[in-house]
Amino acid sequence: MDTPQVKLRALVAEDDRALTDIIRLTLSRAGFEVSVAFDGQMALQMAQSIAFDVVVSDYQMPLLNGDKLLESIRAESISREALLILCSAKSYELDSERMREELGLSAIFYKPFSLSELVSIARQATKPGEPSKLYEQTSAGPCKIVG
Amino acid sequence: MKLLSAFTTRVAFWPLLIQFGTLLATGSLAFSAGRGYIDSNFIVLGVVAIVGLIGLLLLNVQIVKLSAWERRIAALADVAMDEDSLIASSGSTPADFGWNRLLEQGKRWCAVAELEHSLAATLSQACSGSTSQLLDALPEGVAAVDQAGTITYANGGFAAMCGRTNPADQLSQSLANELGVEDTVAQLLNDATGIQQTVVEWGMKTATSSRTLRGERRPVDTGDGRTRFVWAIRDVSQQRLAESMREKFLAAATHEFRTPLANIRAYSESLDMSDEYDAESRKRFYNVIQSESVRLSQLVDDLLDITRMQAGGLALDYRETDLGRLIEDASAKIQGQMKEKNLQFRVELPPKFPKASVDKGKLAAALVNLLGNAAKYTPEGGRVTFRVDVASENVQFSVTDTGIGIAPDELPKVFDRFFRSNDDRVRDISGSGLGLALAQEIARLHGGEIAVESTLNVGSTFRMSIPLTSAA
Repeated sequence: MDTPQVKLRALVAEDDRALTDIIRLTLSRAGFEVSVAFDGQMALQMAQSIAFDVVVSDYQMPLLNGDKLLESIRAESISREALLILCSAKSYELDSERMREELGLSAIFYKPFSLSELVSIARQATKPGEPSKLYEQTSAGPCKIVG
Repeated sequence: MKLLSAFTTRVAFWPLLIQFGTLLATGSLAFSAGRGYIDSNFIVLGVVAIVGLIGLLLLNVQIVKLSAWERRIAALADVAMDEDSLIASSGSTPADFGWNRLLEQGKRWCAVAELEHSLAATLSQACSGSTSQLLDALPEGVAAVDQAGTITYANGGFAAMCGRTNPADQLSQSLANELGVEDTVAQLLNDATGIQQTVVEWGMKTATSSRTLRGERRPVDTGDGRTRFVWAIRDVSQQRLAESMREKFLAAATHEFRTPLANIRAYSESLDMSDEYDAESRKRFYNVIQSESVRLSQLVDDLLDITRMQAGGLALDYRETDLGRLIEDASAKIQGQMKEKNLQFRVELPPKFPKASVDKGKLAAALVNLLGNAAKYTPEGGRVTFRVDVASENVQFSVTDTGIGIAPDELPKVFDRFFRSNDDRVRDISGSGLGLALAQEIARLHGGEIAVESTLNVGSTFRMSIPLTSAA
C-alpha cells in the first residue's frame, strides 16, 4: 500500500476488540498514526484532546453511539475537520441520508467490509491547509461512498 | 316366443286385433249376404256399426290410459313421490320409462328444495335479530357517514372504540371528533374528494393505553343520488406490535451475525497480503478466523433453538431422570472454566434426589449456561455457589456468584434476546446474548421459572425452579 507522505492521525472507535486490532494494524501499515477507543465516550474524550485527521467509528457502541459521537466531534472538538467514516453492523435501520447531510460523512461501511476500501477512503484525508489527496479504490465491494 | 310376445304386446297387438275383428265381421256379413240371409244395406250398416264399436272401444282404452297419466301428473304436482308412483319396469313402454326418469329427477328436485327450505329456516332462526343487532355483535367498529363526515349510523364496536356506551349518542356527530384524532388524520378521514376505497391508519393514545387503528372506507350508493361512506375500523395494535418485535429481532440477529463476519472478512483479507505480515501474525489471524467461525456457528445454533422453542416447534423430551447425575455432569462441564480463573466453586446438594421427569439435555444446557455466566462474570479468585433445594413439588437450582453484578436499569433486560450489558468489564467477554433467554425458555417449557437478584459490584444469584411433575 502507498504511504501518505504526511503522517495522518486516525482514531478508531470500535467495541469489538478483534476488529479494532485489525483496523489499527491495517491503518498503521498504511502510514497512519492510530489511536483506538473501545466506547463512544472514550473516543469523544480522545477527539477533544487530539486533532485527528480521520475518525473511523462503529455505530453501536457502549456509552455513546457512533451517530452521537460523530455529531459531537463535528460540533465541539478539535477534530471537527476530520474525515469521518462510519462502520456499522446495522443496515437498513440507519438513516444514512440524514447522517451524510448533517455530519458530512465521507463513507458508511456496512459490516463485513473490505479493509483496503477503508484505507482507500481514509487516505482522502488531508492535513489542514493541504490540498486534497484523492486515491482510487483498489477493489470493488459493498462499500457505499456517500460523500 | 319371446319375440312373438314382444311383437304382440309392444308393436302390433291392437292394430292386428282390430284388423282381424273387422275382417272377421266383414267376412261373416259378406258370407251371410252371399247366401241371401241378410239385406245388402244392412250389411253396410253392420260394418259401420262394428267399426264404430271398435273405435269406441279403442277410445275407451285411450281414455283409461290418459286417466292414469293424469293421476300420475297430479301426484307429481302434489309431490307425492313415493315408490308407488314408479311404473313397474316389467310392463314399461318407452313412455313409462321416460315417466320413471322424470319421477326420479323430480324426487331429486324435491330433496334439494327441502334442503333449501330447511337451510333458510335455520338461517332465519339464527339471524332472528335485526341488522343493527348483528352489526353490534361485530368486534370491528362500523360507522356510516355522509359526505361532510357526519355520522349517520354507528355500531356498538365503534362506540366502544370512542369510549362511548351507546352508539345512538354518536349520530349527527363528526366521525373525526368522535375518534379524537389529530388534525392531519381528520383531514384524511374527511377527505370526500375521491369516492374510491380509502385506507387510513393512525395511532390513538390515552392516559392508560396506546392503540393503532386501521379504517377502511367504502362508498355506498343510497339511491337518492348522494354518496355515503361506510367505515370499518379495526384495532391492529397487536398485529403492529408483533411486526415491530419481529423487525427488532431481525435487526438484532443481523447485527450479531455481521460482527463475527466482519472479523472473518477483515482477517482473511489481511492473510491474503501474506508478504506484509510475519508467520506469528498470520497464525494469530488464523486463530481469530477460527474463533469467529465458532462464534458464528454457536450463534446460529442458539438462535435456531430459541426460535423453535418460542414458536412451539421444539417439544421437550421428557424422561425419568436422575437429577443427582444431571447436576454432577453439569458441574463437571464447568469445572475447567472455574479452575482457569481460580474460582472457588462450591456445590451444595440435598441428601437425596427424587426422580424427576424432565428433558435431561435441555435442563443440563440451562444449568451449564447459568454456571458458565457465573464463571465468566466473576473476577479471578471469586466464588461461585451452586445450590440445589428439593421441595415436595419442585426443585430449585440457585447459582450465586461474587461477580461484577448487574446494574439495576439492566436487570429487567437480562433475559431479552441479544441483550449485552454496557458494562465496560463485559466487553471483552464473548457471548451471543442468547444464553439467558434460552435458559428462561427451557424453564418455561418445563412449567417452571427463572429469576435473578443482583447487586452491582457485589454479585448475582440466578434461581431456576422446575416442577417435579412437569411432564405429567
